[in-house]
Amino acid sequence: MRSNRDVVEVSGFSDPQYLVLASLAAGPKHGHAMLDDIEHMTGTRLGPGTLYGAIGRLEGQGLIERLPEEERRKPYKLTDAGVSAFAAKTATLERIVAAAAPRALAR
Amino acid sequence: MKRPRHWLVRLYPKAWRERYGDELQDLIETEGAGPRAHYDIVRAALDERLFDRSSLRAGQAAGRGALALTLRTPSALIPLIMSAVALLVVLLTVIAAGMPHRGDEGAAAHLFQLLIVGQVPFLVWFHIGKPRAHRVGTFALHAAALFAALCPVWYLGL
Repeated sequence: MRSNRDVVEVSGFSDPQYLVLASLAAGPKHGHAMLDDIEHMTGTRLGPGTLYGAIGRLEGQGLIERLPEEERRKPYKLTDAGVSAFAAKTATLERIVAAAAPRALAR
Repeated sequence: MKRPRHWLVRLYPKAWRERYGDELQDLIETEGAGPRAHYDIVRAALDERLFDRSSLRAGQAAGRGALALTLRTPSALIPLIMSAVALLVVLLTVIAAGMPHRGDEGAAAHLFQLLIVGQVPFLVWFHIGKPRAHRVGTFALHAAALFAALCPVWYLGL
């Protein structure tokens, strides 16, 4: 069984960071493409500052990495650690939603 | 030729700008910068300035020492300064006034206590918010500084 610390380590990123991971899980993207994809997923367009704050933190944590420049644009992709972190966080969210959804519907 | 930086990009710390400045500027130019984007970027830049979050990691990505970068973070540096000032308070008090009488807690003693206890919020903030690789080296530094500040108090029985 995982300890509280493991859960914190696995879940140790914010909503924008999770959305960036979710976007990159579909393939490498540059900033503008990430914003479009996240808007498509959530209906909300992240601000540029929020996006690059999330990118900076994820890159620092080794969860994403920058690919060589393409036509002046710098795409990012998930690292192996990023794939694992995204899968773990998604599994945690799925468990939360599975438990919480019936409670929400019951009200 | 290097493009002139948008004033919003210039709000960020230098290390951050070097890493992400061009990309943010491209995004501002393609997306446009309305009031909401202005607010978002100013808030994010302030966050980077105050807590040195991504610039710290950008520096790490560039291969600089984690410890040196951590010490550039205010929440890591302030406890070290407070320990150093606490040590200075003890030493100056002993030098200037000699050994204080037991039980006689003067202003210097209260200042010392405030400097030691006042570190706690900064230490909690820093050690919760940073990756483990940064925390290990800095934890040793914080512990050593605290030990150095407390040593004379224990040794002299103050």
